[in-house]
Amino acid sequence: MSVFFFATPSAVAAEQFEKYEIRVIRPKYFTKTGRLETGAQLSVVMNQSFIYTYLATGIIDYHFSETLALEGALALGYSFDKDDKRALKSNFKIQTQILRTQYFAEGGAIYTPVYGKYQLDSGRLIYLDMFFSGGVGMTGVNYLYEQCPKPSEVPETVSVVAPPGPRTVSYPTFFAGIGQRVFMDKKLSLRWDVRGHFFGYNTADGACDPETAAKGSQLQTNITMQLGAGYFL
Amino acid sequence: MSIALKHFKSCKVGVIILACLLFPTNVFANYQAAQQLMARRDYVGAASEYFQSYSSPRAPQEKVYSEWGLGKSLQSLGFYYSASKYFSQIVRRGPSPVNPYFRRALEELGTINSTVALGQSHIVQLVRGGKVAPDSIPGKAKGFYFYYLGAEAFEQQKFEKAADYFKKVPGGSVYYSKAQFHLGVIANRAGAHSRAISFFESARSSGGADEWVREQSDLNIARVHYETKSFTQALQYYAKIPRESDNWLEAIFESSWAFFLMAKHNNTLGNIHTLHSPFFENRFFPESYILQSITYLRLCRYDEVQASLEKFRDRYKPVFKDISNLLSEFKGKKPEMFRLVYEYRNGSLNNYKNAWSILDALSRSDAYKEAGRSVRYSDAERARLSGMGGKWGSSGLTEDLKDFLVKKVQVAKLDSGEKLFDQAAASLEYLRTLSNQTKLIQADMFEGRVDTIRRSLNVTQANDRKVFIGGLQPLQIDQQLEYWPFVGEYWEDELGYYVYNLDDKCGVPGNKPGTNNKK
Repeated sequence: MSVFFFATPSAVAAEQFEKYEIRVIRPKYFTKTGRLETGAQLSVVMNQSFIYTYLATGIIDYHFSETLALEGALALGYSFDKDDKRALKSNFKIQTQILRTQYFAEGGAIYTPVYGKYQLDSGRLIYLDMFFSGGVGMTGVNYLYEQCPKPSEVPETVSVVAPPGPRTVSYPTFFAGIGQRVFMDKKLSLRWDVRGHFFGYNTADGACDPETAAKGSQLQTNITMQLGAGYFL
Repeated sequence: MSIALKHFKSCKVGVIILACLLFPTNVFANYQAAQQLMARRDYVGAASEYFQSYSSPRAPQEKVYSEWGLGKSLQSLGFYYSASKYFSQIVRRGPSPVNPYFRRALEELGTINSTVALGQSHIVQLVRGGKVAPDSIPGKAKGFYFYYLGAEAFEQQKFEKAADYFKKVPGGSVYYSKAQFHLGVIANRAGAHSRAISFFESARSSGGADEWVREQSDLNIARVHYETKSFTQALQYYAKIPRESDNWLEAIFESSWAFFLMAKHNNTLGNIHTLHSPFFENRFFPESYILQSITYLRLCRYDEVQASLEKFRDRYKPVFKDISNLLSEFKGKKPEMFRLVYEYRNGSLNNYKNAWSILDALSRSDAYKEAGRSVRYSDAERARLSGMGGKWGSSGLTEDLKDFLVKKVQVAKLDSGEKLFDQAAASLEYLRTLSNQTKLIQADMFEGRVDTIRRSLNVTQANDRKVFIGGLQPLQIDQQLEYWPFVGEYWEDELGYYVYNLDDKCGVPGNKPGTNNKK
């Protein structure tokens, strides 16, 4: 059994439920207004063909009301090659050019329109809410230039420029997402988010010779699944 | 025997064992041997030896000493009920030079009773009359002694005498909180409401207050406030009763009356909605239908009045019939009422189904719970005693204690059965009274005497401007609330939080009893 309702200020909620002959009216189980939420999550970039990217994510939210909050998030991570990428390189000598997300730092707003509860078979009751998030920030992409041939790897007759060393380039980012908190008690919640991080990057930044490569802009979308917990102070 | 004793004292361990094997009775069947075993903390052996010297003493004093030692050794083994048998015998003889253990036995009984309740009837028998000079009561046992003297006088409705005894219970005693509670009840009976509240507050906040004392104190403070028409304060105390308590529904029901008298009709109806939920179909709150009907009457919702009265009849007519049959059957065998309630409680009862709500109420009564504890502890000790058979087999101690425990169970069931029967009979009378009230309400409503009824209910017109949300709580400024609609499905967590949303239809033209006034 579950019940969800739009989370609204009490006075508005009173009107929302005016048509019901019998209502439950009680202090809200979990109040967010005026509280600081700190949290930790593990973020995974889900839409990448050749690498896994995991980012340790810290979040901090301030809730102005039950429905509105401001949020800051900082994620730092690492990428691992998938077997597919290794197979392409070893079997077909194909080096893929990829964007490795190394960090993102974002700030934005959280809108929580839905507050609900769910009863487990055991009879235990779980309160939860659902929110939308959106904002801006920066995404750091780590370029390794491993797809670029080194001068030592090509015949002497072929002239190549030595690729630059690994570097991280930051790009302005927009994000939007949806998430849910499951309240374990009056301070702790489990939380998941799915977010799309949209940023444009200069294709030349990943080219073997960024100085001479033709500049071009591409839109990249990182879709992250973030799982973790939040603690309300 | 004395030769054997001298021999025993000078023996080494090996010789002792040999002597034990060769002359078990001759060597150990005496008080000194029991004392030595006791000193070595061999309580099993000591109990057996004490029992033998108690049963066949060489001198009257040996019996007295062995009786005390037997109690102590059994107590050390955790046979508290069994130990209480011997301590009780000592206490019953009263203080005298030939009964040197009177004071200590009284202390030990107090300790045992605070560990495993011995049952009020058991203790009252010991202290009955209160003829012992207060100086003879040891400090540690004063609370125990005077509390139960007070309890006996209280049961006999000798309230002044009871109050005198309760006041003698010292502050540090584990019986202090209960004594304070009873003093509160006595003060309230005398109309001293403020003093009553002070006593109840003292009872609930004292260190020895158990759950029973705290909840009953809160309930009684609420009732005193209700009596003095301080309804908001009454609600504060009703709200303190925890949801998991047996008293919670009682608090919900009584607070419904407080809301009614405050003219908070939507809160009254909300509380009754909880009482009528399927979760509580076996709970006995017939008066809730009467309160529901007169609340609707106050709102001039005549169809709902009619519906409430019909629901009362539908639900309680079969109860009336079954409880009447039950009382007829058990009139001559009241002790069996305990077994009946026990069978209801453990789910093995298949008859009197319509009277289950009353049996449920009985199963939550102190009379049943106290006897249940006595039966449980007695059975547990009997089971443990069976395990002692090999060690005590030949002494006769096991049989003696088992007989005592069987009798204790019988007495507990008898006492409880009589009380339970009386309570069941009172429930039938209560139903009869309520049934008459439904007829009066209906007749008055149809004869156009609605205003008369309303005046007779003496409702304080909104004497408190506070708005109450669910859970008996006044709405706080800037409080964040959650609302959930009731759409036919009861959620366990919502019980106790319902608030109706109905208007008063008294001013609506043409709204009269007997016409179809559905909204």
